[in-house]
Amino acid sequence: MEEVDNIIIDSLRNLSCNIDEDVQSLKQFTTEIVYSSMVFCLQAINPDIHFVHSLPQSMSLRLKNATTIAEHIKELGYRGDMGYQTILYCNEIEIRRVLMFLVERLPREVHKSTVSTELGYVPKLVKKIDESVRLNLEKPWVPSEFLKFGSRDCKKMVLKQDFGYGHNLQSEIIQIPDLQKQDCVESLKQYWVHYLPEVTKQCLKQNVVPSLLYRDSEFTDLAFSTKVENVETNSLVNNIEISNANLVKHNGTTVPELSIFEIEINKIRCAIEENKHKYEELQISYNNLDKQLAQITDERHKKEAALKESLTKIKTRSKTLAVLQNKENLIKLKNLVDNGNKRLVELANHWNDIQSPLLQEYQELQEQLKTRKSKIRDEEQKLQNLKDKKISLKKELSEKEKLEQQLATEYEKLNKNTNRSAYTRRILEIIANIKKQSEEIQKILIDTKIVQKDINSLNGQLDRSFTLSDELIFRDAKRDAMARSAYKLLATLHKDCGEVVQAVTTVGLVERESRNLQEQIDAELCKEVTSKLERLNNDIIEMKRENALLINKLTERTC
Amino acid sequence: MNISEELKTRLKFISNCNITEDVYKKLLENTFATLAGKSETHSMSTLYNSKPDLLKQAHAILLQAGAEFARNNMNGDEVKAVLTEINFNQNRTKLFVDLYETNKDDVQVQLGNIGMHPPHIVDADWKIDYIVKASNLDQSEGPIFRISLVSSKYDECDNERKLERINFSCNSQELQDLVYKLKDAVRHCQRLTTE
Repeated sequence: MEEVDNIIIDSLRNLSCNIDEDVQSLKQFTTEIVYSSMVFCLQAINPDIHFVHSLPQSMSLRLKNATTIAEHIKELGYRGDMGYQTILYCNEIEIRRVLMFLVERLPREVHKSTVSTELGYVPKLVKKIDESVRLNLEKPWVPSEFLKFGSRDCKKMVLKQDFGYGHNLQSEIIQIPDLQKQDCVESLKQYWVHYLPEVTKQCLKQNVVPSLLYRDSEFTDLAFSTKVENVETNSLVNNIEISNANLVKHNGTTVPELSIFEIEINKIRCAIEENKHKYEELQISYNNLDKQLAQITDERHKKEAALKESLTKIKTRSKTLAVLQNKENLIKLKNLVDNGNKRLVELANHWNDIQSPLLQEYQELQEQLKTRKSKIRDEEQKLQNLKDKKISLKKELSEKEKLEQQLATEYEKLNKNTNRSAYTRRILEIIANIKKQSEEIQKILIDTKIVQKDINSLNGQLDRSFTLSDELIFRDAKRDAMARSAYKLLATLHKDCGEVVQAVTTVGLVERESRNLQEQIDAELCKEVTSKLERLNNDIIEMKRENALLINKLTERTC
Repeated sequence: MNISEELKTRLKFISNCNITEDVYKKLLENTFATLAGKSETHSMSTLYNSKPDLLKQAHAILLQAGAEFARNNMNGDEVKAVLTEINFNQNRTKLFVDLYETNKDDVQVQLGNIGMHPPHIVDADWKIDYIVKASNLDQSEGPIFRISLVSSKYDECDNERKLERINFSCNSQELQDLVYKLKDAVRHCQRLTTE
């Protein structure tokens, strides 16, 4: 019973009932404590119930409160005997039963699992919406003149309570100088420097941010820039024009009796048309002739240039011929040419000598450069990878930190219920005790069985020996008077012994009965009926006095 | 963090361009004052010096960046990560992040004001009329409720908040219906929060 009491008292203390530290078992519970603990339990189970936590002074009020509490407990499904007397004139066993029932019904604290804390975008959004709706409902109303641009600062989040400042989303074309662009004209730069106003002054104040962020008024998309060739409409328009012309012609023929002037005008028109045609033709021929002229002048220029060239060539030729006519000069020239050729070969050789190592070196250097470049690229790749890794790690770290905080708070919350392990330990102990006890009971049962068997076998032996001796003596009794008396004595002995055994069993029964009675008496004594009766008497007297007082007051009033 | 590449390249330009720290600071202060709906603290023309075009561009880019960060509800650390990624030096990053964190709520309030909203009811006036008899009416069916809802609405012409009255009259049944509808809405909201 001690464990049960401990559990009950522990959970009552968790409910912040003020039970003294030195109260260890339900025996020490007074009516006051019983009342208040029941009230606390009921309120924890059903928050709608409201009671005073301490017993009222007046006797009748006490009675009333106790009855309502008893009713509430019965409503919760308590099967046992329950009335005001259980609360006001409590006995330990009943109180224990009721409190056990109530403690079992106490709502468990809901522990959120850690899995549910990692939420996606949508649940987070829903949670945020819930939060803002809750805040909106909770916060008292404030005139919108006191709000900052229709918003209200609530520490955790900014609540939008007045949309009167919300202007439409409207963007305008904004020009921003772009110095990153490579090919910009000097005059454009000059325009940027001297004439372009700042971004904030290019449009209305409230349109600055939308224009900067969205810029939907600029069609940067390719889909908008390509022109749609509407061949169909073009042809359609042409068709319409043609049909119109036909219509006009039709009109002309259907109305021949129009005045002569009309015909004249038409004639003149035709003449004009003809003239126009002629003029156009002349124009075309003129243009052609012009082109021909240009071609001819071009040719002339070319031919002149060719003439000049050939003239200079002829001059040099004649000079060389003049020089070559002398033989010495020819030999000299030959020598010179030979020398020059030799020198050319030498120089080429020399150049090759110098060039080949340099070329090799150049190639080597280029290869080195290539390898270095590839290395650098690798390094860059690595760096990028590391950066990505770092960002992801940072993200992970922050997430983990958040989780850790949450877990820490949860852990703190959990810490309050340290008695859980104590409970389990106690339960285990109790189970071990029960096991031991059952083993002992088993042993005792086996013992009693053995004793029973012994008794049975002895009984059998006794019976057998009695019948044997009975037969023996009966046989002798026919002949011997002594034997006859002995037989009689044996019969009486047997009868007496049977009576004795009967007496012993009845004594055992009576003893058991008396023990039962004793237990009942003890139980009754436990209930302390006399003291309770005394208290009841006192309470009745108290109530009578109150009633008398009330009657007095009533009579005074009526008087 | 969904910051577009375009903005990133633009910010890179700021990190590379040669404007003095002092001018940068003043430019930032101006930027956040504009974003938070306050008037600019420094006159832009005093900051120009010899490079007005550069300053104009930088100003536009900073405005865009600040608005974009606040729009994505990024906290200081995230902003710092983005800026360091684009090679902002420490001093400039710190200046930006500090100003961003102090002004973030105001900027978000300003951003929240962009968009169309239905008129918002802030007050209600009412009166109960009873027509005893009229020239075209012999019997009346009960009281008539004249209700005027005062709503606040943004006026596109004057560019400011204005109060607008929504007037209507109804009989008791219709009013009852309206009241039930409103109560229903409130209950729905409450249920949302308790679940």
